[in-house]
Amino acid sequence: MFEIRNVTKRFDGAAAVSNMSAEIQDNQVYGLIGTNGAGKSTLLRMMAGVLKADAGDVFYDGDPVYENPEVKSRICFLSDSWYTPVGASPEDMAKTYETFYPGFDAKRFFSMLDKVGLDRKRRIRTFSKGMKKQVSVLLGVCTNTEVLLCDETFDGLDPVMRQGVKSIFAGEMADRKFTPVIASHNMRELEDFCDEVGMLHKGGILFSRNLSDMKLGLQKVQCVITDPAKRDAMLARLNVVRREDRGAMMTLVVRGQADEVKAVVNGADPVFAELLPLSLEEIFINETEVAGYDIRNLFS
Amino acid sequence: MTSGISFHKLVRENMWERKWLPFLTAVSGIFFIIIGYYFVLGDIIRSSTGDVSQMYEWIAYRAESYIGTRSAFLVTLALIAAILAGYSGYLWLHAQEQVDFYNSTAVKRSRLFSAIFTSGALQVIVPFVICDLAAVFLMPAARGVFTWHLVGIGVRGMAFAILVFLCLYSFVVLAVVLSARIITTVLMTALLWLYGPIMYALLEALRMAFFDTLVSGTSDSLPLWLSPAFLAFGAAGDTISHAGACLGILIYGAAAFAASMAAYCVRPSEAAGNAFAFRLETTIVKCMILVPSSLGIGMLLGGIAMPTAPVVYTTSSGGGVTYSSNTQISVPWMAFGLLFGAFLMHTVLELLFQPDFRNIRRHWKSGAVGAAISFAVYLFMVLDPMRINLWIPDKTDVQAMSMTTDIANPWLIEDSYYYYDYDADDTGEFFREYGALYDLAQDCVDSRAEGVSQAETDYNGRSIVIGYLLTNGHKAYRTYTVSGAKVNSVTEKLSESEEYRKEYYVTAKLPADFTDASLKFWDPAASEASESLAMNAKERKALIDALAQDSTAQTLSALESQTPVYVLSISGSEENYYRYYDIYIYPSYQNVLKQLAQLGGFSDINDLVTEIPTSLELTVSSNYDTGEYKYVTVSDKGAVQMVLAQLERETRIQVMKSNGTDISGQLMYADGSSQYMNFTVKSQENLTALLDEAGVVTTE
Repeated sequence: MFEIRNVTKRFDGAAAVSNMSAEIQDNQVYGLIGTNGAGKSTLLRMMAGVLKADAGDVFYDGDPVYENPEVKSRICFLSDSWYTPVGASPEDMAKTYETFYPGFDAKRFFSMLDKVGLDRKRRIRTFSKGMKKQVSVLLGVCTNTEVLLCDETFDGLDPVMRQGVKSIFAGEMADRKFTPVIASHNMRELEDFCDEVGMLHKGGILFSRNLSDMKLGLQKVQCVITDPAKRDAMLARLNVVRREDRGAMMTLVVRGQADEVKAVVNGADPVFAELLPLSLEEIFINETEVAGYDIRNLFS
Repeated sequence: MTSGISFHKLVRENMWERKWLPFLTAVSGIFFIIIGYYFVLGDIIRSSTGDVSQMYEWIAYRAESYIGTRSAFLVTLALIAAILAGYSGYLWLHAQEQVDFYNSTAVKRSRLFSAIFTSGALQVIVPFVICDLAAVFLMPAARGVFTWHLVGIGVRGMAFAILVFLCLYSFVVLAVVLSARIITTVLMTALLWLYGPIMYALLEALRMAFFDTLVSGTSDSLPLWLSPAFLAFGAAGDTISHAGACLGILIYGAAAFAASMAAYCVRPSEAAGNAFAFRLETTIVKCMILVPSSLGIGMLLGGIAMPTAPVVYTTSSGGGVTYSSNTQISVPWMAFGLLFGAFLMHTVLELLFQPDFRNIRRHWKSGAVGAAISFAVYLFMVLDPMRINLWIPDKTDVQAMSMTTDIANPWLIEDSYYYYDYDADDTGEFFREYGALYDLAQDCVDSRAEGVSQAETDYNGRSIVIGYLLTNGHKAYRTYTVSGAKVNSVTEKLSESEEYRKEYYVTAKLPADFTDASLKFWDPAASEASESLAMNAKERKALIDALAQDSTAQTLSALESQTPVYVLSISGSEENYYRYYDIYIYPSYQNVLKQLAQLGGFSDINDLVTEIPTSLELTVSSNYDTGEYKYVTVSDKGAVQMVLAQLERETRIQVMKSNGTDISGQLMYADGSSQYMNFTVKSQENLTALLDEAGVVTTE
């Protein structure tokens, strides 16, 4: 488990991360969401032991990470600008990773590489952005570390590859202790992927919550109710977070359990009523409004 | 999972990443060391005269300077290799993506640092050793001149080159670790290698300009010790002790290695792309460069702006004594130049650190700090608040004094030559009857305090170093430029003390192990040379002892009132230098005269062979004030005798004191020899008439 305790990091006097505290449990996919400059990369670098916190510290399983080879051997960090030596091929990178990650499984790496159709001898500098990301993710997974920190790694991956990576992660988590931490500014990238999400803003963490828990208390319902009185009575009984009308069609985001909300809506004799899955954005809108932010302003 | 990343794996990985380095080293070694040495040997063999032993001597000599410990060439190769190995091994610190990768791995920083350092060292040293051994063993064999002596030269040279490489490599690594962009890395490398000698040169220039009475007390080789690169070249150039230099290089290298590892271990990962790795470094480095640069620019402008005609005025102390100042700087212009230089350097450095013009304004504070330090140094120099330049101890604090001048012992010797290494302690022996000397020192300080003049009125300015042995045991020295007349007067007064005479008369301390001696008559009408005086060791010692005894028995004034009888020349060679003395033998040197009479195989000193000069070439001053001269040749033997009868040969002190007409002459003899003399004129009228009649004016 990662423990981030009152961590602060400044660059040229400006706080990139300010007094942040959070916990990241093992064996779950953790998403770090935030705009550019929110502090995601900085936090990941501190978790990887690259940066030293100016205040506070980062612990993994109770031990500080910085300059701790024992702990760092259990973490692999994939930076947003991933390093490859000049002229290196995936084969060369495998050798490098074998040196720095003793648990690296080269055989598995080459097997996965073949499956995605990448040439192991071709120079990585000639790969497209997406292909480079693919290689980096595969290398990271094959290091067999307990933690994989991915900084904007999914940016540039096609949907098929993204799905493939999700499957790989799921498989890893099923087989062993594996905790991917993924930073992104694109919520859609992490849709249906993360178990827990932390939202960063201006160096601080707005919230860190389990997605399922967030979803449990929030429902999205689409309905058509022709009787105005029944409609108003229904709206009065529901704890409406958001309402959107398109003609007769009403789309509501309401707090409450699914069964309760369904019962109230059905009680209004709707012509049409359906519970819809919530997007990550809608969940966040709710959460940020509670925190007093307008998420549209955060991401504009 | 444990962090079991082995050291040798890290080294191997790093070697793989820069496999071009050993290849480049090997290719350079083959061409420059193996093939180069082959041609060097061939060159010597071809130009050999046939003397085999001499040929081997030459080979050994040349081998020392090509692949031995005196090889500036090997030092240059080591320097280039250090830069290549250091930059290629650690420049990744300047790229964020590489820092992210390496610093996220499960390797302690110190271990990674050591692995990269070792990798670079091996990739240079191993191919170099192979090439060097091949050169050392195979090339002489190929040329048919193999000797184990040559092998020894080569192996020692190889060890020296490796030592130099490791030292300079450590400094390059330190420069890379402390900086975060390539341009500041180059700046840092230059700073670490050159800052010491540059600062020394600047401080010496400031000292000479503002504290010119201070005796630097440092040797000419000190700048070499202030830089690892200079030290390496100095050791190869044989200008300093090789063993000492190697020790210095070792210490420098160890210190640089320790500092670079320590800096690397605490280096912030976020420094990549900045100017320097550590926050305070920018201000420190800027001040380190800005302060000496602005002072240098200030001195340059102050020197250029200095009026060409010197300002002359006499001091209130009177007595016809004037003092010269060595300050050649216009102080107001220096102040302007300093501030201008500070602004200029601030701008240049900011643009070097980050090419953003806004930083010139943003970082004004660090520029201001540098300018303030420069100005404080400038004010310290100009105002001299501690009265360094006007310092003189209280007489009650002085137990003894010393004095050395730029012209030594003109009462006692005609000429002398000896080569020696400057020794800061070579400032004369201390003596206790120093009253006249203290008065001179006080006079110098008082005049300096009143103001300075630029010109010498008697054209006889002398440089003196006055030493103080204080009652607390400390020694202090000051140097002044003083009129020659004053120095002569004080010296004559001091010679009234027997202690002074025994310490300062050169004739009291002549070496008895001279190898050659000859005697010449003082009379210009006589021959310039007798036969050489053959002496055994006992006779040499007796002569030297007699000289010491006779000379130290008399004051300088007493000697000056006499006309020398002879000039005794003694000379000898030692390991590193050659020396000779031409010593006046005065009539009062009874013991010496007795010794001389017993030498040379003649019973009477008057048996010395004499010969009248066959011709004279005189340089006659026609107008002393304007410095006009004419050259007159007298070639009739009879006329030569008559002219010489009108002239009186002068000793050196008499020449220095004379303000009359100067005549100097080259006397030629039948055997083709000649000698040079200075004269004073007995009768100007008679001489003029003689020269008009017999002399031929060749040039005016």
